[in-house]
Amino acid sequence: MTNERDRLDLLFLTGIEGMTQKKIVEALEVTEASPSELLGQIEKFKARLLDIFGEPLYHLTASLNNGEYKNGLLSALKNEGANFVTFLDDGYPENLREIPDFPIILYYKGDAGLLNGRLFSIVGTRNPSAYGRRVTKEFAEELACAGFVIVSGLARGVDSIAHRAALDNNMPTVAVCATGIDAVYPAENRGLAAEIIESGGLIITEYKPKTPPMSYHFPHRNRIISALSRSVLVTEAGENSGSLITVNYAVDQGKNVYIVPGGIYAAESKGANKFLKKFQGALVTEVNDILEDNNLCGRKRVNNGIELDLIENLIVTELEKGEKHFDELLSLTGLEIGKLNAILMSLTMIGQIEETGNNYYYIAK
Amino acid sequence: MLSKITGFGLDGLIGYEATLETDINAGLPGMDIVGLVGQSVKESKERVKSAIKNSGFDFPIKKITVNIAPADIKKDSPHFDLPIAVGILAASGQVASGYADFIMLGELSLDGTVRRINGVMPMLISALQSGFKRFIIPHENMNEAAFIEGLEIYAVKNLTDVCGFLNGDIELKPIEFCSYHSALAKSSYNSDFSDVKGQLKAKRAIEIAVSGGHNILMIGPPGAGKTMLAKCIPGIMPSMTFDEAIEVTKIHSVAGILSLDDGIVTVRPFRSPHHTATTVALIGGGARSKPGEISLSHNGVLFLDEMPEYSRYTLETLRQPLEDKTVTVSRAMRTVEYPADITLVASMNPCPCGNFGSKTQRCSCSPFAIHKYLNKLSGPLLDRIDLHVEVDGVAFEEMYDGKKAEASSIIKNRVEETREIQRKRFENETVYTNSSMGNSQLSKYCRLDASSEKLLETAFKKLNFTARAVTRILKVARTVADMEKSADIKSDHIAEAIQYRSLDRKYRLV
Repeated sequence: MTNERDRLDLLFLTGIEGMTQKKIVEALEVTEASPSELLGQIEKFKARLLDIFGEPLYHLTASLNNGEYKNGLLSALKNEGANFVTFLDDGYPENLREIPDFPIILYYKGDAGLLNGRLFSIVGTRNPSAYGRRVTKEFAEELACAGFVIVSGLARGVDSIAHRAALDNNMPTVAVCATGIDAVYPAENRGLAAEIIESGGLIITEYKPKTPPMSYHFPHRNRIISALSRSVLVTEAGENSGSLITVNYAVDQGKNVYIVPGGIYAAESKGANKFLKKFQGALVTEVNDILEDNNLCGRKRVNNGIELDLIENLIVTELEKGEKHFDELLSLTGLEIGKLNAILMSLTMIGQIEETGNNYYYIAK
Repeated sequence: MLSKITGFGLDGLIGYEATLETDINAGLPGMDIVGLVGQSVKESKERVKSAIKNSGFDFPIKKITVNIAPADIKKDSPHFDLPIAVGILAASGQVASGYADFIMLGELSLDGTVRRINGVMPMLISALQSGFKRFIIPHENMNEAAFIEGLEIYAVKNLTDVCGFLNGDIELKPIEFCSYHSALAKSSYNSDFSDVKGQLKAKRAIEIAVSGGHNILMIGPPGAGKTMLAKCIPGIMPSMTFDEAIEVTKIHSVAGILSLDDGIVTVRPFRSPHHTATTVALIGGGARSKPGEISLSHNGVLFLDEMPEYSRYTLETLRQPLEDKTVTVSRAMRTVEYPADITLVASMNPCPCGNFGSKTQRCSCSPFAIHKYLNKLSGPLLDRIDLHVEVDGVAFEEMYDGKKAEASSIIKNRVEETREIQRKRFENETVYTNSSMGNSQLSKYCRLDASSEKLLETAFKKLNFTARAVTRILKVARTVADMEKSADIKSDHIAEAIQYRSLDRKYRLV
């Protein structure tokens, strides 16, 4: 068990300029000794730091004793309503301890208890096609409703859609950021981040407060996304998508990897398809593939006890065969435009069907 | 000698009486025009001099002073040429005294021809209200003047005719009155909905918009037919009443865009300014406080194609006129009010490249770019647009199936019926259409039954609507109910109205 002083020392160490995660991890020799063995050896850890850093340790200890610096860091966390957990603490997620370059400290905001739940990571391109958006939404919704806590990176595109899908179904979600806990990148996701917290979700990061988003943070952050959960799903990934880095981490960490295939000509799917060739077992084409793998059964189509009338049934049956344009439905049903509009809207509202934009409708899963 | 002639000036759409005094005295030969005159009136002396000489009269080689009263209003229009010329001729005894009975308007050419002028209609109407009856106007402006009853108007071609007429040497016949209905019967629109294939959903939305006086936004990829649909809209609006036509004609006359052949505007205007339009071009203003596009499309359609491409500032200036249905243009010298009761029809792509959501084309826009694009339309502006509708490309079979779509005239009949319902409903109110209902009218005329209330509540929660969006939905639902001649708003009407809030639902950033 750790005492408060050790915890704070770690906090400030990671907060010191030039004291990278990697150096501390090296200091701990985690490649040789598991973190659990290091528990209770905090004095030895400090001695090792002295060996490794020699001269800088003077500044280091000076910083440690610098009240202004300490208070600044602590008050930044307090202002944000954030907290932190070190690898020495009980609350530190066990999954993370198992990876070689685990973060020394996790700053978090929200319900940290989620980290011990059943987590499921969804990643993908920042610029998804209509197909990718639909896949992500459908898979994220189903998985969230099946009881998984969706983990993603709060980035644009697939990440945001996955978080949003969980929120829309009133399920908590975990965002792993590549910035300080008090910053949100991209800025347009500020609202989303706030909603994640409000709805009982969690935002975590290994970076100290006020850390700006640096390009090298993102790939590094991905190891946490994959490490937190047992499975990683890629819904759509282009040739150079960062989500493929997550897949590589997941493979190294021995996680389940699921990849949704895309069209062979679609630039947005090049990366995912390429990886599918390598990991053929990762191929999934429906949510049930994942659920069966995890011994779960899918969510029953919610009907809310609403009885569909004849014409509504006709529309649902037609849409089950595939996407249909508004005009096609019009000639199929022979309804007036206004009436069809109204029926399609009410079917959308009870969650039976959805609209793609461009006046196409499809059945909601 | 001194002569006095009554002329007319124009301040915005309101005419004012202007007295032209001409004094010819001994002194150094020359001519001065005073009375806060602008450049075009100052230059008038050169035109008048040549016109008088070239018409065979003598230009007095004396000191000529012309004063145009009242001297506190800036006069900057060449239509004072004719009264100035006649004033000089009268002061030098070349024209008999008959001139005092007439109000003269006209610009002179160097050879003495009387040229067309702008703003004849508003000036004649103001003059009529001030009790003037007899006018001399340019021949080219004849058609425009023919629609005003109770005036004795003579159309002249040149200065010689004017003097001959005033001297009693030539007989002129006053212009014959022309009834508005005969002109209206001859009018027709270029674009007809029967030529627009498919697009059933968009057409329905447009019909709702026109029926209830709502503004509408069409969202769709390039080439989907948004512009074509928009051009058809004036054709299904109710025919303009005489008063409406006069209002439009006045504005067009002042702006100088009135067709010389028609004389009166019988078709509802359709204005489509390019997106580089400046704020002044759109709202009105400039040194002469000219009407802007929003006033030129008064009683008609202002079509803003590619709306997010307009400058944000320019778009924001539309907010007040859209609410007040009039625009006040204030400049240092004058404040002018122009009517601006328009149906705003806007179009936009779903994203900068236009392919967002497309099944066949790849959208190359980042979510941030889309966000930025959509954000160019501010919330308050979008709040003034009740319907959003998606327009998508027409399938090949539809284009060549040879079937004619419903004609504009049939739709127009339905629209007029729906407008009639609203006219009766708002008989004792200050509003005319469902779109302009205020809060008190909303609670009075948009009561919902339990099932509609529940639907709206679900939508509010599920689709994250704002309170403002709900108001829009209620208004549109009222119109849909009116179209079906239903006294109550039913849940179907609400459901359809929700369908037209796509910007609130689909394009919400995740």
